[in-house]
Order: sequence, then structure tokens, then C-alpha cells
Amino acid sequence: MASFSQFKQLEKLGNGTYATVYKGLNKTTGVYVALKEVKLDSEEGTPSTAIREISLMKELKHDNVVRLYDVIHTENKLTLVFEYMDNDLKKYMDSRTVGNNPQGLELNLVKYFQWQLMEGAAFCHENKILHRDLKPQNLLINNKGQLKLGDFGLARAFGIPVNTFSSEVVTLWYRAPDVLMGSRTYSTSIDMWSCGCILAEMVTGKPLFPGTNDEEQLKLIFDIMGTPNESTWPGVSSLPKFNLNFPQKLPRDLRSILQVCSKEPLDDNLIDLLHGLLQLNPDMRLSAKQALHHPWFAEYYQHV
Amino acid sequence: MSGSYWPSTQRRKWQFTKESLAKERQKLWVMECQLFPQGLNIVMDSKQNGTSRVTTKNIPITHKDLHYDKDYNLRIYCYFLIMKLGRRLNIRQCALATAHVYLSRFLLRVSVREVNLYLLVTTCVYLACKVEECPQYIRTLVSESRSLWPEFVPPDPTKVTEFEFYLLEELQSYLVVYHPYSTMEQIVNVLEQPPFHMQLSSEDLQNCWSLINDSYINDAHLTYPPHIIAISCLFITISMKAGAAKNAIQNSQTNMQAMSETEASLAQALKHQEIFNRFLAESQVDLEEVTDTIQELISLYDHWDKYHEPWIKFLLHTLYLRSPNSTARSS
Repeated sequence: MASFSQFKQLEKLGNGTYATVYKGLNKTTGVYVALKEVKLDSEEGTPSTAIREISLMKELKHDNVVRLYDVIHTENKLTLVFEYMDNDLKKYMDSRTVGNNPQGLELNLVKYFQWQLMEGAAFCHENKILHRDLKPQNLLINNKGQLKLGDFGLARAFGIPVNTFSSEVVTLWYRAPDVLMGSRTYSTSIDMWSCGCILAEMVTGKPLFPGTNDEEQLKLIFDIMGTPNESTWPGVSSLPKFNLNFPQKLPRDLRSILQVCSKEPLDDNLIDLLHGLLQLNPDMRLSAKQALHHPWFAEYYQHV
Repeated sequence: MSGSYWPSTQRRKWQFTKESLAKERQKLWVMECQLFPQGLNIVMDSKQNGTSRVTTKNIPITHKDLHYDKDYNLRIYCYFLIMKLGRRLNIRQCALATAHVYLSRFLLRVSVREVNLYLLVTTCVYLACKVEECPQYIRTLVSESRSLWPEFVPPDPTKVTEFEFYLLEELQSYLVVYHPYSTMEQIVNVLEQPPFHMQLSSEDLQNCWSLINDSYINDAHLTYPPHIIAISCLFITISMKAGAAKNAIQNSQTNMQAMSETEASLAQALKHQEIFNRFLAESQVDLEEVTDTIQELISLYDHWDKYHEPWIKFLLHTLYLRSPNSTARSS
């Protein structure tokens, strides 16, 4: 077990929901780490989110999931020692903005990142864990081009009682339409929608559906993907927040929307994968495993 | 979290062989002997011939009392403590089972004489509920726990959160626990399908479920994977039914109709036994582990026959409230 004195605390990296993250240096090994300092709640003790993150991260070991090395107990705080990553996808994309114009990433980098994102998601889902809060800020990257899923504070193990899930999760922009309409029976498909949004954002450099509230979020989604109805999505009208007065929109051509923001020509396979991930009906959405077998990734799986 | 027991920390970090478990316990035993060489002095009031006499007795540290590994009285008592608190708050069995595993892992490293057992139970339940996603309000939990054990549980909830911190440390933050309940259900489903076609009654399932509950008193969850425990409990359930049917036949000689009914149920029970044996033979599970688990469960019930709750209560009361050199850490 590591002790706190083994680490030198360096600059602050950010503030999380229940923690402050610092860069740290392991003085014995010379390796950088991320030190997540958990604030203890005066009432409830160690926050449930921290407990959840610790318990899940201790079980998950995968190249595309950020590693939890250790948990250090000191007098009155808990420090989670994570693998250090140079950057996150959000900051990385921001850093490439030219003037006021966000830039998409090169398509071969987009593909490499998306492949790793799918690998990480597939691993979590195989282990019956939903991330529930996938977004560029939570995808950590390093200078080797590796991408890893981080921040499992909202993650949960999905067991039997699916109907008790809280609907207050996932940052709005990456939130699936079924969740926005109040579905509480979501499963792995919730993460897959987020992965679709992230893919589009990597291509263009801009969030695909940047809504400011639930209503606008749904409107933005329907504007591009079309308004769902019973024939395109059986059962949609019985979702709690389904509204018959939703403006009726027809699906628009994703390629032409994205192409204007990309310097490279977008190929059919990429657009097809996006369609698979951005299915309004959660039952029709690709799973992470299926996505990994998508032809767009052929160059990866054919070499394995 | 089902289906990923194999790469789990439960298997990699918290599963012992009989030998390594004995070694851990030996360490604790040596530590207890060093820390508490004086043992425990108990004062007993007894009434003889109308006059009350006070006798003082010393229980040496080397005696099995209050050593979690050897004292089944203590183990069974812990089981009831967790159950009682859980019932009060309507907590799912699965979370209580997790709490029990935390307790037995903790008491592998720390002596009952060092900590307040009632606070430990409360904290194990509190933490398990967070992990199993049925969190309890700390104030509700503490007040229920206090109403059960007022002399032992401090009213200040921060005592629980402080203890939680300590517990997390002793558990080395490995918190996910797999239980035999879901494995049992899976096996029962498989047995219903061809080629087995074996339908267990809801009473059987209930019995099996209770056996699993009881298995937490033993070391099974520190030594064997959940499926071994599930299979062992199913085996006992099915064998007991056959045994009970045989007994019923011997005892009912007069009534012809009752006789033929019990004969039918015996035939079915024997059939079940045969099918389950076939399933076991084909399943490639470690039969030695199964046999051992079964034997330990059976010997648990021998211990249970000798269970003496007033005695363990009295000992703990003396330990925590009367013992002058009690070092129980309640803060």
C-alpha cells in the first residue's frame, strides 16, 4: 500500500463533482499520477459517488480505462491515485481551435480514438457497468495517442432493478433521447448514444447537439435525426415526456451537415457507423461490440 | 455485477486457501495474545440458597471465546446483528450479505477486542448499502441501530463515518462482492431445461436461499467462489428433501393414502437427487470444494445447536462496558 508521503503534489488539474484533482509525482518511481482528493461529506462521510468509483475502478483493468493504482487514507481525507494522462479530449480539441473556428481532428486520428472509445465501452459493458457520463472531458488522452475512459463517479453496475435508475445523469449534450423523454429503463445503449455524439464532435470540432435545456436538447436532436413516432420507434409515445406536439421533422442528411465542417471527405462507412450509434430508438442502436465490428474499423480488426 | 467474478478482486485479492487463511488467523491470534494478555475478567452474580454471591472469573486470552475464527457463538451472533438491523430498515438481502463479507474480512485483520462490534456492524451495513446502491440516510441508520443496541452505539453519526474510513482501509478499498444467490438462480434455470427437466418447488428455493444466508457465518465466502457455495446449498436442499421423505415413510404406517403420497414424494426427491448428481458430475466444478463446503455447513448447524446468545451478549457487555482496561475503539 502506498502512503501519501510517497507522492509530491503538483499543480491542480481540475475540480470534479466530489473531488479536486492534482497532478502528482511518485517520488520513488518518478512516475506522474493524478491525485484525486475526495472531500468527505460532513454528514454522509465518504460520498457515495466516490465509493462507487472506487469499487468499480478497483475491478476494471483495461488499456482503455484509466487505472486506479491505489487509495490512500490519511487523517481526514481519501486520495485516489490514478494513472496520469496528459490531456482530455475536450481540452485537446479546444487547443486546436483556430481563431474562433473549432477544427475537427484528422480522420485517421478520429478513427483511432473512436476505436479505443468503443474498446473501453465494450469492456465496461461486458463487466456490466454503465458509464452514464461519457463526454469529451471524461475521455483522457496521452501523448502516445491513447484514449481512456475516466471519471466513473456516475457509473453504476447494472444489475436487475433497471427501473430505479435516476434520470438525472449524463451531461445534456450527450444525453440519449430516450433518457431525455424520461425513460428509466435504459441500459448500455445510453453510453452508445454519447459515443455517437462524441464521434461527430471529433469530426467537426463542434458539439453535435449543444442544447441548454431538456426541451431544446430534444429539439436539436429531432432537427437532425427526425422526430420519432410509433412507426419509427414502437413504444415512444408511452415515454413519460413524449409530446404529441413535438414539431414534426424529417431526418436530414448527416453527411452534408458534417461535411461542411470537415476538411477531409467523409466516407460512407463513417456515416453509416454514426447512424448506427445515433439511432433514436435505443433498441436499434449499435452495441459497443457491434460497433467494433463495423466496416469503418476494418483496418483495425483485420490486423488483429 | 454478475458474470465477471473470475477477474474480480474478490477472487484475486480476497480469496484464501485454507492454509493462507489459517496463517492470517495465526497472525491475529498472536497479536491478540500480545495486546490482551490479561484476558477478560467477568463478574457473575449468582443466587444460591437465597443469598446472592458475586464471583469473579478470568477468561484467558487463549480461550476460544471472542476469537472470531474459533468462537461460533460470536459468529452466529454477528449474523443476527446484521439481520436485525437489516430487517428494521428493509434492506435487500444482497446488501446484508455484502455487509457480512465486509465484517468477516475486517475481523480477519482486527480483533473484536479492539473495536466496538456494534459500531462495526452498523458501519458494514452503511457501506454495503452505498456499494449495492440502496444507500441509507446515516441518521436513520444510526437511530435504528441505537434503538437496537442503545448502550453500544454512540448517537453521533460521525462515529460511523469515521469508522467507515477505517473499514475502507482494512478492506483495502476492494468493495465489490459476488454472492451465490444469482448463481443459484442460474443453476435452477438450467436444471429446468432439457435434458434435466427438474422443477424445484418454491419451498425448495426458499430453503436453499436460507442455507446461502447461513453460509456467511462460515469461512466459505473467504475461501470459495460463489458458485461452489450455490451448488453446495442446492445439494443439501435436495438431499434433505429425500431424507425427509424417507423419514415420513417410516413414520406413517397406518394411513394408506398418506402412505402413497409420501411414496410419490420420495420417488420425486430421489429422482431430483439423481438428476442433480448427474448435473454435478457433468459440471466440472471442483467437487472437493463442494464437499468441504457441505461439511462445514453441516457442522455449522452443530454449532448452532449449542448457540448461547446470553453468554456472548454478556461477554461483549463486559468487554465494552465493564472491562477497566478495555481498549475498544469506539471513536
